[in-house]
Amino acid sequence: MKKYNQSILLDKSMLRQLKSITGKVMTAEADRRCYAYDATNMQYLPDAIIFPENEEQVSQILKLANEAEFPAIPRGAGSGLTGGALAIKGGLVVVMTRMNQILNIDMENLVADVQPGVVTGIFHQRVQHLGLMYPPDPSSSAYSTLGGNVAECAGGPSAVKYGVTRDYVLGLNVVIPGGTIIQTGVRTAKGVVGYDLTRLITGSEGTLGIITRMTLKLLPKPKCTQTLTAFYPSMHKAAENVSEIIRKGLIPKTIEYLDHAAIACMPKDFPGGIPSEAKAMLIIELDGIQEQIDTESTQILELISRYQAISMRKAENPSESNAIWKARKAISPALYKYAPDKINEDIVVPRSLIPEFVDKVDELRQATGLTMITFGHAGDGNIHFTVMLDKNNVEAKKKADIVIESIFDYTLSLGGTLSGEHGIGISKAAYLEKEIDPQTLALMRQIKKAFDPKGILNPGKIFPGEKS
Amino acid sequence: MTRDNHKKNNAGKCIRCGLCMSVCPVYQVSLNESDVARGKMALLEWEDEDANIKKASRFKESISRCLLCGACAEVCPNKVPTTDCILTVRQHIASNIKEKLVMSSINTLSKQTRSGQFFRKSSSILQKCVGKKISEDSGLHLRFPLSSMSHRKFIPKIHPIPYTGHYSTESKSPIKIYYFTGCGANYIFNRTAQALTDILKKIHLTPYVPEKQMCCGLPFYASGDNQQASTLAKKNIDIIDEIAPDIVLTTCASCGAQIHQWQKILKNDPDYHARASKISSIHKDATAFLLEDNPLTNNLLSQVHPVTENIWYHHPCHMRWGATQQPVPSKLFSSFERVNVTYSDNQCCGNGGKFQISHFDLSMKIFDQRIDFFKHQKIDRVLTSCTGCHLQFLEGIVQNDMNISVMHPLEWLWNSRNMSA
Repeated sequence: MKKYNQSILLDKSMLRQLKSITGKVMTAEADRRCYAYDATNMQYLPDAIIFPENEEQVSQILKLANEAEFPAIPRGAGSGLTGGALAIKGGLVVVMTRMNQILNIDMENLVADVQPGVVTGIFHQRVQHLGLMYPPDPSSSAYSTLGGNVAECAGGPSAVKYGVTRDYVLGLNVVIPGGTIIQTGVRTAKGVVGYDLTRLITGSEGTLGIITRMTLKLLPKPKCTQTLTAFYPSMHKAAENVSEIIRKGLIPKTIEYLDHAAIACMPKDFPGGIPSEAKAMLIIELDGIQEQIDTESTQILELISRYQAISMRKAENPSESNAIWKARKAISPALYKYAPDKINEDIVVPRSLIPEFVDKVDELRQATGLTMITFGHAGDGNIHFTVMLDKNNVEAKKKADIVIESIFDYTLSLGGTLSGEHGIGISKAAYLEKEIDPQTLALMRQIKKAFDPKGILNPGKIFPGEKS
Repeated sequence: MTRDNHKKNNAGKCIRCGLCMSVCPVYQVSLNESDVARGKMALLEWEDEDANIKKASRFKESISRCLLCGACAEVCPNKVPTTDCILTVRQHIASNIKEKLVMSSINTLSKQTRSGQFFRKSSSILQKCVGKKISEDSGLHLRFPLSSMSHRKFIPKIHPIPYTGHYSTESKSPIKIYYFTGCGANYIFNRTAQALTDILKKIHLTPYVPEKQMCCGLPFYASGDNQQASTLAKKNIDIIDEIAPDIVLTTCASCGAQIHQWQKILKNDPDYHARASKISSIHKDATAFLLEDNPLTNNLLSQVHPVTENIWYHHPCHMRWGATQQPVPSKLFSSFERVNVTYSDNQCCGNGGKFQISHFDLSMKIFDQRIDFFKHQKIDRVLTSCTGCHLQFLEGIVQNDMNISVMHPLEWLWNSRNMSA
């Protein structure tokens, strides 16, 4: 637990002023402890926590923060994986979960207006009841918030066909430091008036402004889905198969892959069983109208058999599909059977180069003896590269740091990127300069300054060398 | 404790992923991190650093704000035994502080506000009638402590004679059935007990219902009073073993779940531990038992008496999570063509035993989430097989000025079918 001395700036009179905005500010240590963490399991004690209930309150909070120059850290569900919601310099955590109304769902134009605290999974259910779909589906969707998803530009398994969060954000209301409320974007499919601040703020990790309202794009919900699974003797075969499927013009909703270490975490009762010689696995999901997915399933199964799959299977019913996806979602946490600590990176490489990446991992595994697992979204090249270790083991920790560094270097050499969907936060800030050149980084810092001249909003995130 | 053991065994295993937020009934209405399991686990790790924290009122408050529904433990990807962790702290608090959580919760309660009129009954009247009739050891005393201080509108009528008191224990059944009534069916919902024994009689089974059977101990266990919980468990085990039944039936999901906890409570006593695990292996929920494929019950279920009504079947948390989880009893309703059943198997009622007393407003807020649906769908009746849920629905329905009857599924089955044919 990293402790900061109670900020001098958040003194009693300041807390009183904050309290006059929302009626309640938490300062008890028990509460501060409960807002000190996120899903990285790192901890930084904030000085206070506030729960705004409307845009006006957010504006007043950021006005005060800017005047008194204390850090303000926006927080959704606190389910991020790179420390975006952590108060690393102390200050005020601004929890957005109380602004959780779905304001409007426009069935004619397929757009929805929502507040940032709406839980993504609840929004999914609501639009599905109306025969619609909001495609971004991070594995945390049952508890993460739409505001957090937009701030981090969350992805999910269906990016190969449907893209990521930024592809569904049409417009935003954002409060920027100083309390000014800005409105970005449009409510229409097209719009090119002025700079695209919507895209700039989407994925800005709460460093430019606090989102208070979002206009999101919806799609009609596909009528049917079909899940397919296939096991391969090598990762190469699986990856070649993926490339071939897409080359043939077949774009499944999802193509997930698992390496042998991830396969070993699957439950014993996995539908159809798991062949003992399997070294790689694909989970493919198609969606659309029945005839179309029937034809596509047949074509894909044909391709799979041509690529020497050990076994393949078409899920027979929805409960079998559910069992497959449940097993897939359970992998990440199941990895703790290997060791108590996890380092998880979500690099992306061009889809066709996944086999090269996997070879590199094998090489590093042999050289270091560390437990490494790769699985992820083969359809879009987004790989969850994971090292399991005991961080108290100094030697293992040292080795892991070297492995991560070389994985990042190799990813970039393949034309990839350091993070597909988790963001930079504090976890990856030290590596940012590997990917972003100095001129571009300098411009990014100027953009940050234009929004937040005093650096009070979510300080210490994204940019290297600002953590302490 | 070494770090590894710490990580393996308790709160330290929590990785703060946040999945518990998706199921916690308390968090979902309060939206406070200190209410959800990962927040509580963070507080417990703090306790590891500084033992004095236990005395901090904010810490105790957080630990008390848990329904023990078990949902978080069930979904936890890292298998953190969250409810056990909370129970352990409650035990520490209960043994360190004389007044125990019960008293502190009553204090909390007296500060609570809920808009509308507070119904305050004179404690003496209630305590006189309740106190005399209910065995001293019953957990019902924890459920209805000094009810004058409560904002509750529903005060249950205590039956003049406990069910076990007038039921014969003679049995000539081919299989030996022990009916563990629990305090609910014994003192308040006698008709549930009556329905079960009548139905069993119809299929030529007579259960043993010994008068001396005790409270299952859950209310004590949940408040951290392990001593009383284990005393009650032992007494019950002795009484059950005297009869040596083939099956132990319960009509209350919470009693059923507690019977499965006995072995854990008695883990340091090898003899009782073994007997407790034997008993949990022969325990069955009465409704599930009757719905098993058995020619006699099949015959019962085929006698259709159509009634037009909209039923809300509430699946208790103790049937949704943990050792006693089981599917909703859809077979019960399958032959009733004119009965529309809505199965509620993903929403806690908010009772949580003593939780409803100590955190009445919060408890009602959790309950009220279904009220719009009830009005919209014109629900006539609620069926549920847990004393806590049953009481909660009775309270919630009165609080919302609704006219909906609440009963155990078996009572409903017994009432709606002409079984005398």
